[in-house]
Amino acid sequence: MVSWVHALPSLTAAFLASLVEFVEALTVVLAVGTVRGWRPALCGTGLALGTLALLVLALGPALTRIPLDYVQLGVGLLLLLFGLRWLRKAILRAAGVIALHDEEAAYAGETALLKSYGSVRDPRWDAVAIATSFKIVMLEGTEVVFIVIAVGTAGGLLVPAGVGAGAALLVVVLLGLVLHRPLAKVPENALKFAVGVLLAAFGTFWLGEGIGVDWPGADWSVLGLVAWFLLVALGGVRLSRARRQAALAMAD
Amino acid sequence: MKTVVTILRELVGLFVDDGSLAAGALIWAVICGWGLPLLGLGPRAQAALLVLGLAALLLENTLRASSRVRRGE
Repeated sequence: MVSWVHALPSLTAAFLASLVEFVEALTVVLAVGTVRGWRPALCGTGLALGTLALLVLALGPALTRIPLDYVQLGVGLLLLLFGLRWLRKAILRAAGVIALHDEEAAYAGETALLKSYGSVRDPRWDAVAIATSFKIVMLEGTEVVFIVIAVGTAGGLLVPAGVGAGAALLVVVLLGLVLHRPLAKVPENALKFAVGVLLAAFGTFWLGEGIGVDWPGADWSVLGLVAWFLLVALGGVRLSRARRQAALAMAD
Repeated sequence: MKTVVTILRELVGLFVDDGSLAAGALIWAVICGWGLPLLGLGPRAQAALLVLGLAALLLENTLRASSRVRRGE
């Protein structure tokens, strides 16, 4: 029986993280489809999804053969590094230290780049378009696969994590089909902030399990870790903003 | 070869944005996992120090990044 204490945070983390990744992939696939045609855009996307599926089928069973302690340690460490990377960037963006990610600007940049390659010579095989959509789906998809495996494997929660990622894909595909434009209104940094908090908390928990720490409250401590990293990150935004203003004032 | 290097760079980039934060987290994990028990600290203390250390590393790193001002800013 799956515990909701673990299943809900796993599902939420996989959904939110995948949502961010799929939104970024959609922007580029939309640009490819609009400039070079939908056939190569969807062909590249399909090829990447097929490759990712093969990767999951090859890696998934191999992971189950590794002793749980090692899986927890390895996955926990990678998840922690992944989460801290997201959280660091989200804190710096929220504090105004680095610029926010702009989907409209990314779409315009990608569109201009694709136009610069000139007209399509062979509409049946547009290598530039196929390679561009393949690369972005592969890149963002690899992150989604990692997140699903990482938040799912260590706790035996691959199904809830997979459901979360699948729901995110469905939401983004439906919105893409309806709107036909980049999802610029998605509060991407707020999502990255939330995902960073969740992944850092999960990573710390599984890393701790792997090195043999004794978490007070056992599995419930995941919720405590989420609250702790949220508090630290919010404090980090305030302190970083103040530090930034002081540094700029000194430089003037 | 170039493609392999690009793939590897992308793969490392998934986990490492700022090298000092990643290295700090790795070192702290090793200290908490294998160093603290040698000092006689129990699993509860390990848990508390792991969490506190990671938070300190994150805050130090973001504050250091916030202090950097490039020319023209």
